[in-house]
Amino acid sequence: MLRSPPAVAGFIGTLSFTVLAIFGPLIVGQQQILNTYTPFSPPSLAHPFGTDYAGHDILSLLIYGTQRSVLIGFLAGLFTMVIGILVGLVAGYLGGVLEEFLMRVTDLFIIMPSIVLAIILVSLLGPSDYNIILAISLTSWMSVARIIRSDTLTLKSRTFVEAAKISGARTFYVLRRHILPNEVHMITSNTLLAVAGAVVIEAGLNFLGIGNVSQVSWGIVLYQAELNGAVVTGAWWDIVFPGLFITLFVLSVSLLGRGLERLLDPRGGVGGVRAR
Amino acid sequence: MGLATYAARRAVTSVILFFVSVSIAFFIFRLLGNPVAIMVGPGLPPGAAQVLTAEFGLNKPLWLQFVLFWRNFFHGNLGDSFVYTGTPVLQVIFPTRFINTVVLMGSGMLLSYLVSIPLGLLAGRRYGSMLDRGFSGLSVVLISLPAFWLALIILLVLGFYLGWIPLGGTVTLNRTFSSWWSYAANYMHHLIGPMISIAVFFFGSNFLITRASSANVLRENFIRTFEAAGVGEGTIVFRHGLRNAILPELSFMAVQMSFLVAGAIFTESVFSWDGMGSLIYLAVQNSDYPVLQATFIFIAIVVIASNYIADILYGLIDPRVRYD
Amino acid sequence: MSEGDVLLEVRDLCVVYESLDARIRAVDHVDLTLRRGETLALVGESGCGKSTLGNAIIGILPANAEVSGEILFEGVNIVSLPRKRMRRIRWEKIAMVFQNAQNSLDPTLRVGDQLVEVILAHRSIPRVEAQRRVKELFSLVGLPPDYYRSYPHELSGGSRQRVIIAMALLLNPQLLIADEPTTGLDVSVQLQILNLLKDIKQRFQMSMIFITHDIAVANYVSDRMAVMYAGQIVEAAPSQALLAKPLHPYTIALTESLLTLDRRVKKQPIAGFPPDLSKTITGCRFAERCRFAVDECRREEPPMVDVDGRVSKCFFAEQISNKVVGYDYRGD
Repeated sequence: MLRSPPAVAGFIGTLSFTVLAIFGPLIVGQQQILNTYTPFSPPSLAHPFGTDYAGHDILSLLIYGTQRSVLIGFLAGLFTMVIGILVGLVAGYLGGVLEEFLMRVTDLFIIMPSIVLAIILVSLLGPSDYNIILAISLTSWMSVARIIRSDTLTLKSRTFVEAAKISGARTFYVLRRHILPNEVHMITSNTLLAVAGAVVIEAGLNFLGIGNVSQVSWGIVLYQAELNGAVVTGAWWDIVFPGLFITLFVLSVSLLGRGLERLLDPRGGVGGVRAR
Repeated sequence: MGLATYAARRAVTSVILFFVSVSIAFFIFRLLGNPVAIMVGPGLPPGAAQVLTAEFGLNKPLWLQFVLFWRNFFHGNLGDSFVYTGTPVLQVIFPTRFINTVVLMGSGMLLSYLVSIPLGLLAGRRYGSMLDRGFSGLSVVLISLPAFWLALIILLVLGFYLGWIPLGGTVTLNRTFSSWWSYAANYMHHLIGPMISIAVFFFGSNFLITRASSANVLRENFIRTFEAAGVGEGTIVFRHGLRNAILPELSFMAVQMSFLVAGAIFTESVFSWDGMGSLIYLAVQNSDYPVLQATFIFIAIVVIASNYIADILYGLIDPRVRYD
Repeated sequence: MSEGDVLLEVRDLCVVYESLDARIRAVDHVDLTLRRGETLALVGESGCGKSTLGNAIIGILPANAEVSGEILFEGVNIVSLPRKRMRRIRWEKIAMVFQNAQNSLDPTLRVGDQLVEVILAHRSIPRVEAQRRVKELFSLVGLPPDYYRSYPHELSGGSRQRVIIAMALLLNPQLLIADEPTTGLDVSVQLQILNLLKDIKQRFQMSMIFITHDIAVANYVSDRMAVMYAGQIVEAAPSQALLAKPLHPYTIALTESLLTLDRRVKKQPIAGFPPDLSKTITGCRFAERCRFAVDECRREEPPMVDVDGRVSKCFFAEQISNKVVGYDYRGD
């Protein structure tokens, strides 16, 4: 991985955001995000990212909000993986009618407009962070399930798995001992990609004002900016910086994911197309 | 099995998918919320509320409600909007908002394809070149951008700073147009911003898909045959590369449609484009559940139909497809 | 042999494939002459550089290939020709029949249209005329005219190879390079294709370079053979003479594997492996696998020696010719 600059950049970025997510509220503090200064003042030494419609310091808001955005994204990504891995493993390893049924359900979820489904779920269940996590995981697990299933199908027919089955190993043992370890590279990279995706959806849901708007997160800062006329007053800093936080996070995490996939692949790495 | 039989069989699966998705829409709204509050809404006069309650049988057992729901569905009745009081939701969607969304998505995707496919084909042909690495890097950044942020930035730059495009809407409000031509010109002017947003939003994924399949296809034996035969580079890349590279793009359709819906919601909301995406935004803001439900059903139908068309097209382009 | 008889002359040709960690000398100082109307077979194991040589002549080497030396076609050095002029020589003067591989034709287009495309890339004639030409050639190579509208996957391997041959003939080339044209086909179909190639070569009055690993096939189609080993030509002679009395130990080994084929015994591959072409080799390249090799062979590279108007790259060519060394040399 050290030889791949994008992966290294991704690692450094992910690490920085993790530090911000853990210590953000300690660095900034509750009081600092409640303080108000001149509304919509452009970036200056005192306020490097400027202030928003109510005069909050935007840099403080973003640092403070990192925890909530990243935590929601992380948990939603995690649950996405749990659902996807369960469906994929069961379908791929057990096969039969169950596989047929699970893959039909997967197809159905792919067909249904997932963002609309997520919006409806949150607006029916109520605007809490838990419901956002639930809605994101319920609508994004499908690609993971497909990938895990097809890989499990391949692994299932390999000699070492056949041998374990013939020697009487239990299903759970085979899955834990032989199948999952060979999928670690995919699971790691897909978890990172799922977290990145979840952060974007969460920011989107919050941007639409569906989430709990009384708290601070990256999406909420953008929601408030748009709602309070940052565009028509030309307060570019109120739009550019929150978006940069989201983009940099997504970029770092997905670059790290791609890098790790190559590093961890026991089959020597996909590495895209090889040069001839 | 021929293409016709295949088309018929796929049609049957599509219809089943349609019934299941619409049923899901029914159950989500009945089971996750208070049905009376959801279907009847707060703003209606008591009389209207009673009529709606009876019409949808909201006090009846669930299975009967389900039957009534389908009966109403086939009569084109999906309830009335809470916000546009008394207006049937179908009229809220049709025809204006539907057409607006189709125009925006169609033009945005077209623009995106026109730029990303030629570049993707060339990048695949010159795998590892400066052109390839430059646009691949750009695409990786672009697919990391949230759609709404991209739209906001474009609105800010093109609208606020450069003043080239209006700050929102589908046409200028409160203005009478002397001819259909001036109306169309005004409409097009409003279209530019959201169209560019959609095009840029989809550039990354379209480019990366085309590049990958182009790199694979242009490595095939038949490309060497045509090179040796003195066929020009343009024909090789655009005739042979394009035909073969478009196939994975088509099979990616289902996933692409999901992105397209997301793109519509966020882009239309930012640009106040009077389409179905901004309708979802408004419906959420106002808890207008009948509209939300109807839009969900409607989008599901459009997605199922597009997937169906994409599958058939795939068969038409690739003669190797066996229908069994 | 007058100068006018020579169609193609390859002089001191080297092709080196450059990759990040190695330089592979696929073709190493090769000289070759092809007369008009002649069929020359290039024979050797896979990886000996025969396909690279063929690809170099028609100018479709990959970008990482470094070429030096001369390829004179009708007296013009085509190695240094600009891209545009080379494109006009390809297929109009030199055409190629590729190995019958998967996807040797575009799977999404009708075969007829693909051939029309090749004509229209070179000639500005009406489409219908190009179509007529394609149908004409289809009947010439023994394909029914309605195959024009078929897709590649609908054709058998033999028919597909006939399409490829028709494609090569579209512009009346003077030189046809056939690179393992029968590999992967049924034995009976192989013979049909070989006969077809012999037939059209006569009919079109072309010269042909026939690339194969099978010395029996080479003998069946060619007037002269050049045997390649590890990027070099080790022996060249008229086909009959070469097969009757090989003058290079490698050729002897190749003909021996042919004899076992005739006896319906499982073909015996030549023991050992060809040398690694990314390393510098001192001495004779075949020495490691050669039963006649002496110390000198491993120290010094043997020169091309003339024996009775034939050439062989072996110190012992003359002795082999005079039967001083031979099959029972070891037993002495």
